[in-house]
Amino acid sequence: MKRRMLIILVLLICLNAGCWDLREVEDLGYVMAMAIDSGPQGKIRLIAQVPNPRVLGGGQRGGITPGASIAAKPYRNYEGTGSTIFDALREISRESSRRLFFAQNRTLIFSEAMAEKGVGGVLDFLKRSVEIRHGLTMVFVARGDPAKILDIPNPHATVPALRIDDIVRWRGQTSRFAPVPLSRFLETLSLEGQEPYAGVIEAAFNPAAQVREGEKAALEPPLTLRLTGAALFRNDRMVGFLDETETRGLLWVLNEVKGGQIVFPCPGQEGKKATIEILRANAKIEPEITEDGIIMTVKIREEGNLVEVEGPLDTSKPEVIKELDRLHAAAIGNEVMAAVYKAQELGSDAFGFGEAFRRKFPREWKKIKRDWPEIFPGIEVRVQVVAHIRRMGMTGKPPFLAP
Amino acid sequence: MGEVGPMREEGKISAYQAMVYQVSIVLATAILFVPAITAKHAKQDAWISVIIACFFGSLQVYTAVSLARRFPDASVVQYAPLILGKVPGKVVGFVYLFYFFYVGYFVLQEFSALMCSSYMPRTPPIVFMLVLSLLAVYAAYGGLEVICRMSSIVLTVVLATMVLVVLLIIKDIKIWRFLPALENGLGPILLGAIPPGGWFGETAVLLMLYPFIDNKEKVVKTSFLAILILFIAMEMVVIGAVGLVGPTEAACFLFPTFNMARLIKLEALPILERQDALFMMIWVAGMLIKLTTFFFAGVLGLAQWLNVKDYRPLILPSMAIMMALAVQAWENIAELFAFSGEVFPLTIIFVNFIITIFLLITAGIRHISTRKA
Amino acid sequence: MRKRVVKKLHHLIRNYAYKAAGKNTGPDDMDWIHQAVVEKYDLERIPIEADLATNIKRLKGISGYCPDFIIRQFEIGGGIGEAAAIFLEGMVERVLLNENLLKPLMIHYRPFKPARGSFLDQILSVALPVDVVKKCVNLHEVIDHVLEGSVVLLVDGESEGLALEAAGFKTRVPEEPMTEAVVRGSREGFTEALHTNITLLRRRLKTPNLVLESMVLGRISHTQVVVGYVRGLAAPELVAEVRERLKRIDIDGILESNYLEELLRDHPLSPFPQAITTERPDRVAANLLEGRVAILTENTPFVLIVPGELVAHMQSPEDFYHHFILGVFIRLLRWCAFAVSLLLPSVYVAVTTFHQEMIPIRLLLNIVAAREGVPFPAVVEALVMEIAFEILREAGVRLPRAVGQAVSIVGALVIGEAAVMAGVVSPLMVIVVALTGISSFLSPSFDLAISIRILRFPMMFLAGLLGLFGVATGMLAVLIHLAGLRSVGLPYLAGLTPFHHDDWKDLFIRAPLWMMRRRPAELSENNRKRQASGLKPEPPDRHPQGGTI
Repeated sequence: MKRRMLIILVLLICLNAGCWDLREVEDLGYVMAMAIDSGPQGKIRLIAQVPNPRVLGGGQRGGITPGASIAAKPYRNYEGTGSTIFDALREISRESSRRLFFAQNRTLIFSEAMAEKGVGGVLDFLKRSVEIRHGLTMVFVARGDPAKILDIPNPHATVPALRIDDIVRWRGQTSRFAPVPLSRFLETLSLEGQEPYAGVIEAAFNPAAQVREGEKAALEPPLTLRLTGAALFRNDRMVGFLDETETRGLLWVLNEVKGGQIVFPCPGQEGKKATIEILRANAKIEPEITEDGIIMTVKIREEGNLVEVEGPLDTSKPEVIKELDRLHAAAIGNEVMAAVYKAQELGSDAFGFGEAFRRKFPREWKKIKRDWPEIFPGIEVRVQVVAHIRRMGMTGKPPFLAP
Repeated sequence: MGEVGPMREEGKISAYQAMVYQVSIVLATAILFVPAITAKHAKQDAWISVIIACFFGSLQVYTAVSLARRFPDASVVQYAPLILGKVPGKVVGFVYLFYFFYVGYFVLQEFSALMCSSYMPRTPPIVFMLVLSLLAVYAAYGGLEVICRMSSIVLTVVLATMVLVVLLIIKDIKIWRFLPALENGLGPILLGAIPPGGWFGETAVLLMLYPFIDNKEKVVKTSFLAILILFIAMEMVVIGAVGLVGPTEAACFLFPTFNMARLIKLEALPILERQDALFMMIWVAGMLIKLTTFFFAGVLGLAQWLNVKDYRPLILPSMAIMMALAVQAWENIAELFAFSGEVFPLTIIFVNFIITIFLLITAGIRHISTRKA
Repeated sequence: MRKRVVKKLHHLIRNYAYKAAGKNTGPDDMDWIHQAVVEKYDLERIPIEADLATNIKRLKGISGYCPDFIIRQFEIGGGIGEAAAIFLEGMVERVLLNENLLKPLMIHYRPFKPARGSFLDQILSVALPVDVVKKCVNLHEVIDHVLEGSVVLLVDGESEGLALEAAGFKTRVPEEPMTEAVVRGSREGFTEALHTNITLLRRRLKTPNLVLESMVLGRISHTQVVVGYVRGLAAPELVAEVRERLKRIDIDGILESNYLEELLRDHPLSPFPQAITTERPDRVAANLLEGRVAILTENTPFVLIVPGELVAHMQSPEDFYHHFILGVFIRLLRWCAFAVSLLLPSVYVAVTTFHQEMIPIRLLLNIVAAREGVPFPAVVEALVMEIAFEILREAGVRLPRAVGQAVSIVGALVIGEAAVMAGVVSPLMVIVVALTGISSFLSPSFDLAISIRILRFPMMFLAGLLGLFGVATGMLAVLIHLAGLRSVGLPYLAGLTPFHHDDWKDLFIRAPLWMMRRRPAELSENNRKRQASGLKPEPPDRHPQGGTI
């Protein structure tokens, strides 16, 4: 009997004190993208994108929703400034009716200024945070004001964060931008022989936004959001950008190419092009020590499908395919070399050449690791590409080639 | 000197149930902390450290079995006075039983530390300790058989979940993160092997269970099987954590196994991302069996030490003392982790290995045994 | 019927007792009878007198002049002797009574010359074409037999009576059980009549080793209880334990088999059922073959099977009536539904109020949109909805069939539609509650479903308090409870742990019959082999014995 009384008592105490961490699902503002910018006087400016479930949530609405008739924006970008990132974040809470919740966040954008100043300070918060998922958050550097980028309207994926998310999901279509999970960013930051990189996000002019006759404004928004290229870091500071070709060169070496197109000159006729769609690729770095210094050999194996041939080529002949193999292997090699030259110029070993060296020659690495930033721009990089065209679509010959 | 023999405890357990007990007593905290603590010293060679630790653990459990076999009807708390004489024996017995409570309250602290850091920062830590210890008390009232039955089910679920987590991250595990092997020589690897070695040694709890096992001839086999299961589990988390984020990051993690679950990323099945709270549920279960096994061994030992017939009246007072110790023990999480990595393994090695081997040698020299020829 | 008699008897006797307080004169005194019946039930002390009139007077006194207690007096063979047939109207077969008792005695009886044995023996040997006849020597036996539905014949001048079995009360014919309908399989269910039930069982297990031990329990109800088992399969200790526990029961009446279950369970406070209850003879037979013990109770179609551990509650005989792949699928489905019906509302509450990161963002936004404007916290919403569902469910069971339909329509409309429209609850919660409710019907054991239904509420409470940690806590508490539970000595988690390879073929899956070579390990330790090995059917040309090609 006494024991039963005790249990009841404990339950009552629970009721009295409980629900410390309870937060109803509708009380939270789900941050889907956050951007960090450096503000004036060394302050930090934080932009958090919170969706409006009233507009986005499907299905039957429960209850009376006051103001629902007003065509509401599907999201709201909150902006706060503070001395630290957490400070800025809590500044926002003074204007947000909902507690900001970061576990659903998938996009993290650093402004260019912030990235150049160094992101180490804010990264600590992100690393410590319980809510932020490192494996799922993609890191970007914004070219231009991140607030503007996160406010570009779009009729399909109405929330820019979701749009970015979906573009990242389809990155294998081109492999010309380099999104990187925060966990990987943090890992490369901690490695001695590798520097971090991040994707680049920009607001581009929308060519489809043309004012047609009889209309006052264009039906399309004037700006469009685009993921492009990569930003290279040295330690936690950004040192420069790679363009789209160079980015794929980087991704080849990092084994991150999931697909995409390779355009290269078609043999036989001047000015004509052929296009390959990448199926899968695999790369390996093999360091060597010679008298002339360190040589890095990047070995790439690639397989692709032929999707387009402009020139008059009988692609049903094996020797023609062999020739095409050779040519597109050269194109891949060029991309890699372009990236390597640019990275050496910027002095950022995002490829992990140093790491590859350390893995193979741990003892030598100990001697040179302090000087690696100076050694890296001078190392010789060789690329060996073995490329294969496996299939060529539904036809053997281009349409105008006489039989 | 009191009569040596099994005390009132319903039912016997089989050697396999004893194995479940041995695995449960190590698993939950070990898999949580081993990657960080081991990778701190051994870096990418942490997996080699675990192998070495496994051999050390086998040695410890073999010592324990050898000692236990000399006294088939009594626990170490009961026969320590036989070996060493009354007063030193009682002191050693007390060290043993205190060790159980000591790990018990350490587990309570670890548990509340993780819950407060990762899931429910505003809930007072005492709530987690209280809930877990009440469950442990409930199980302890049930007795050894109930604990074994419960643990075997929980253990199956825990191990299955671990395998599932590893399967989900296996595509992101990169072999090159383990290279180069033996970068800094054997020293750091051995250093990294000490904490897991200590954890493996916790299987020496057999010294308390031995009198209750009915098929004693199988004990050597099942004990090594327990070590093997633990070895596989530890290797899985070590390889998972290091292969996923590299040794430097893995060493930074406070709770590497959890961080591993948080890093699950599946583009094909995004619904499985962010499900680490489910992993937390499973881990609560693992923590419970760990606490229960330690607590029960402690209470049983206490009853034997005091020569009391029934251990049940001691359950609630012991838990109250343990809670009190847990609440005051460590001021912040940094202290707790420094302790768990540096001090804790040495203390458990002292109890499970040094004392055990000392008892074994003394008993051997003095030819003390209650085994029937 | 019998119940009514006993009750009336009781009542009248008590009235007499008040009038004649303090007296103790003998069997003709009502006060004496009161003492005998109510306090000690000691009618054995009143013998059958040679004088028929005295016996009749006493019997009338004991019966309290009930209208259905009939004493038919008549002359044997036209004046040879006086006799009386005593029976309960409605409990005996009329035709049998008239044709086989009254007719031969009153019309056809001619005395034998020379007389052999007593007069009663003569009657018995030549004039009563009734199969089962027992002799009775005291009024206790007379009353007992009459209450059982026999006709007792008392003859003037004889101090013994004859009890002729002529029970013929109205019973239900075996029909398809309401609670355990199957798609394929026997459509027979137990009825309220014990002998019918025994027949149903005998027909399924035609072996002399099917042992049925009868005992009568209940001081007043005198309910016949039969313990059935297969000799050689059921462990003797188990049978002895069941017998022992049943003998310990000393209660005034046993009206349903649950009376027995409550009185013989190991853990009286546990919400989990510790015996299987079934209406299906094939389920009983299947369980007897596993070495369990069945307890059949008079007047209820529900038979108890012990031990009833957790795994046994999840098995249905129908699993073996379909293709085994379907059996496997249904078993898995059943375990999932078991988990859903226990956990779904609490997990929903925990996830939406503590672990929002677990929901994919698009679904999450839907949930938020649906919950906006709902004034209650999710846990209250869940509790209210679950209770509303339980109310509807109970109402659906109790209400007359015609009204029941209306109620279910109103319930569906009110709960499902109007409440959502009014913004009292969110549509997702309706889905959760509905799914939970439906899942609980997948359990082949209604008792287990009940315990799950009840446990759901504390689980929701814990989820609202501590999130998934609370749910984990609740589940662990249930697990520890289950680990400590026993059903007639058998651990409740037997089959699940400790691990027995063969038991797992009939646990989460149901293996093909030819693979299930052994009986449950912890139940039938001494006689585990169920069938010959090598039963797997194979094409004739691959068969080791060879065959026609």
